[in-house]
Amino acid sequence: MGLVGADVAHLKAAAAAMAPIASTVTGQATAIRSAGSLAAGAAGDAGLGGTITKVAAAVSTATTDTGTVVGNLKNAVEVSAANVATASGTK
Amino acid sequence: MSATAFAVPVGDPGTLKRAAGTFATLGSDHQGQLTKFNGQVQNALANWRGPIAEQYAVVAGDAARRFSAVVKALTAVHGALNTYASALETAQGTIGSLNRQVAAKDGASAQNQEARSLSGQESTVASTLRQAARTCEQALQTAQTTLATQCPDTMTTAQFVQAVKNAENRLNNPEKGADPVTLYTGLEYMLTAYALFASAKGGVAGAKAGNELSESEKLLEALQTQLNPMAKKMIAQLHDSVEQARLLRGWEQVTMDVEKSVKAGQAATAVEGGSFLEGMLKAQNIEIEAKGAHAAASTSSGAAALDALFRTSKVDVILAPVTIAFGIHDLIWPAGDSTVEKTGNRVAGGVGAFGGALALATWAGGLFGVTWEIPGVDIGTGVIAGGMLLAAGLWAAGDAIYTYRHQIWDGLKDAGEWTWDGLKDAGEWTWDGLKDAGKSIADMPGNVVHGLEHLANPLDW
Repeated sequence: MGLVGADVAHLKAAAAAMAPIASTVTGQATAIRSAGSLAAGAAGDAGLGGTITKVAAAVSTATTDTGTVVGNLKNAVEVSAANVATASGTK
Repeated sequence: MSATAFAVPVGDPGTLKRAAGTFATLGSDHQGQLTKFNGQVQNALANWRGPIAEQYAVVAGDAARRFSAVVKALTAVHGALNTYASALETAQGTIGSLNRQVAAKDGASAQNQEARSLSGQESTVASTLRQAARTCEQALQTAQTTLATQCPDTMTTAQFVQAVKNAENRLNNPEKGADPVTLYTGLEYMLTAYALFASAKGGVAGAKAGNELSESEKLLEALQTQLNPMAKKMIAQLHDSVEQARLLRGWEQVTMDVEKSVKAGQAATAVEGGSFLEGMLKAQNIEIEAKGAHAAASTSSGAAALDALFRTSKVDVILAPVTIAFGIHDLIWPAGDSTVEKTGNRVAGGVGAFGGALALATWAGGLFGVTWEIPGVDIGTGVIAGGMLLAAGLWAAGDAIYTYRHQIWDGLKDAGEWTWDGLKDAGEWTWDGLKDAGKSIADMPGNVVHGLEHLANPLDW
């Protein structure tokens, strides 16, 4: 691929930096669902409360799945860094 | 008369506002994570080249779009809840004031008279609050719908199938003179099918694919051997040379497509299911770590050809052909036991086939406002159009083949009875009779022809 050892280190660093993003995003999903429950309980209107819960669940699901995608991207970078390292003789 | 002449609306506006504030904070934080994410993606791609880097860039672009969609939804939820909290607070305050006015009167009679005089105001306040609640609900539902167009993994199966049916209707009934690219790129729900496919729910089930692989292999064999001579004879019956050529090309294309589906099935079994994204990444890892690993997992030569399909895709970016290949596989052999479920999966498979090409169109067109540059990725407009045409053709052919797969299979089992002359003599293998034959393989060609017309000119629906 034309990459050198410094690039491998760069890739590894990028992969490592993705981990806290995935973790934070996953945590946000939980917070979103909790905020939805809080709001639904305070709405005072059964229909509105149900809608709030559904929307919060949908946003939470989207956020969870985004966290999963970020985690998978982190793994992809790690795998490629390892392969580049092998190919470039730095490992 | 009690001090509470009028019922104070229930609910806690203070808590609602705090929850709304939490949504706003989460939206801001999520935006911050998107900024970090984009920065790290750019870092990763700064000197990284090759097919994995390209695939990574496309998936990262889709993830960035998801981030933005969530931020937008959180902002909308914050606004809706905050507005309703204010309305609730106002209503509670007004009703409380009315109650105090009633309580201030001396004696039950005076209080009752005061309550009656204020009942009109109370009614207005209650009505206004109900309207505020409905407005809030509508705003929240709109936010959820908007989110679903970008993150279809948040939709229920029924919602998704309906969205796909709507899209299918638009494809089948385009407005006269509609520009193909505009038509396709306008189907925002279909554009996002890729994201659904990338979710755990949309993954390719390896075990299921393995069970059905033998049937697809038999179909391929039949297309290449038994059915091919029949098709040639059938084509020869046509008087119009242009029609002959078109049908011949179409038949060859169907054979090629089924061959691809066989290889996709083999890949699915090798990947062992999981989410589509996981499978995609696994497949990519196999390619990097052990070239030809697919072939090692199977004794057939088809697996090696699959590698070639993935490596030498005409659309240059690996993601698209993988998505198209798996999408058409699920279209022809949908998972699920019930008819409804099969239909839903069938539609989803078709959308998956579209999604690969359209994800590229989305990305390259910048239709979702993702502004950061992707080093190393250069997708031309012509490539995108080609991908869309390919997807359209696959969907049409797959749809026809799926419909008659059991007849094909049943017919193959009784292949000894299948002779051109016999069918011809029985009056079943005629152009007019194809529609009404209603049994065995005799139905299939007419419907495949219908699909082939789409193959030959997929946008002329």
